[in-house]
Amino acid sequence: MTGPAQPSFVIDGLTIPYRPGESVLQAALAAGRYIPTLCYHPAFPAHGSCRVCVVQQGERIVPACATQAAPGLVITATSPVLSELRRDLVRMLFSEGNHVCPGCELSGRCQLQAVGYAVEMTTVHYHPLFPLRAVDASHPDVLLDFNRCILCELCVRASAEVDGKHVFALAGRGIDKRLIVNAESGRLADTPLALTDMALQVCPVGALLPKRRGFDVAIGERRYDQQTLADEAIAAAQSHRHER
Amino acid sequence: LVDGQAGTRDLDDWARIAEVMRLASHCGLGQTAGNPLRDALEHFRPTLERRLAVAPHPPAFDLEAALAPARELRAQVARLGSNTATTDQEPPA
Repeated sequence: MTGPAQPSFVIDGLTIPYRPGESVLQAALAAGRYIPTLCYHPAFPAHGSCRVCVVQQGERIVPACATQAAPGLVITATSPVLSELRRDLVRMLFSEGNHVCPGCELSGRCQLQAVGYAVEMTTVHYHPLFPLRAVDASHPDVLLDFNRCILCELCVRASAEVDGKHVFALAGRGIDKRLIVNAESGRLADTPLALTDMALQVCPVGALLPKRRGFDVAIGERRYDQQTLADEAIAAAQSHRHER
Repeated sequence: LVDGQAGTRDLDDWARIAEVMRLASHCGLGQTAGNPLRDALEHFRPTLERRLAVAPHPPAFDLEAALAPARELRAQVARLGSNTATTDQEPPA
């Protein structure tokens, strides 16, 4: 088991052990307590942009991914206020892009969709903005569909830090913020992006998809048909902790 | 609202969006960006409501009044049932 000097903090009245340097989110997941996330990936530092992992620390509402675990910390991760907040944040993401789950190739293995279920979202509620975003199908092997992008910046980080290619970036501010491609032409075909790049693996939605493969997994056998996103996230956090 | 297309739900949505931003934003800009809207909704709600496509109004249909006769009948049936308990039998199959 754990050593005698293992520090701990409290989530929803339960003692959660953590390793120094871990975030509230990492410790919670490793302890088997799921907190929904979208912009977080175990391989990268916290981004803190999607806000879906919000928890309450005293009077303040903070993202669990960007909050360092510390001794004596008392966190509320489950409350009606937080549930409503997470649900509204996910609804806003849905209303901001063009997310048509029934027609999307990633349906059933999409994190945004799975988080939608996890936060018990039944409708988008807010007026959809229906942005006009052209698809970039220039690359021979990869389809880039900006309609589904939620600006989590995971492909940006993966391409820069792991693939070493700096293919993607975010440009603009506020509602005009968008994913751009690092090429004179602005087209994905003119970048060194390859099918095997991590940038493709980390996309939580169907914005970056391999071409010539579609709907190849039957309904009932898709990723989140097999196990819930919560179980997957907990398993990933536990194996990530094990590796370190 | 300016075009006369908004409804009460839009006002509620704005208030909620401002509240979500106040609670969940990372920095003070996001936390306070909704303040003008919040203040407008708080202090000038009647002015805003006058511009709604459908003004808020009490429903013409009074549910309680409409249900009153049925409730009275049920109460009478209950009184009859308690007086003659033997009639409270299984209905024929």
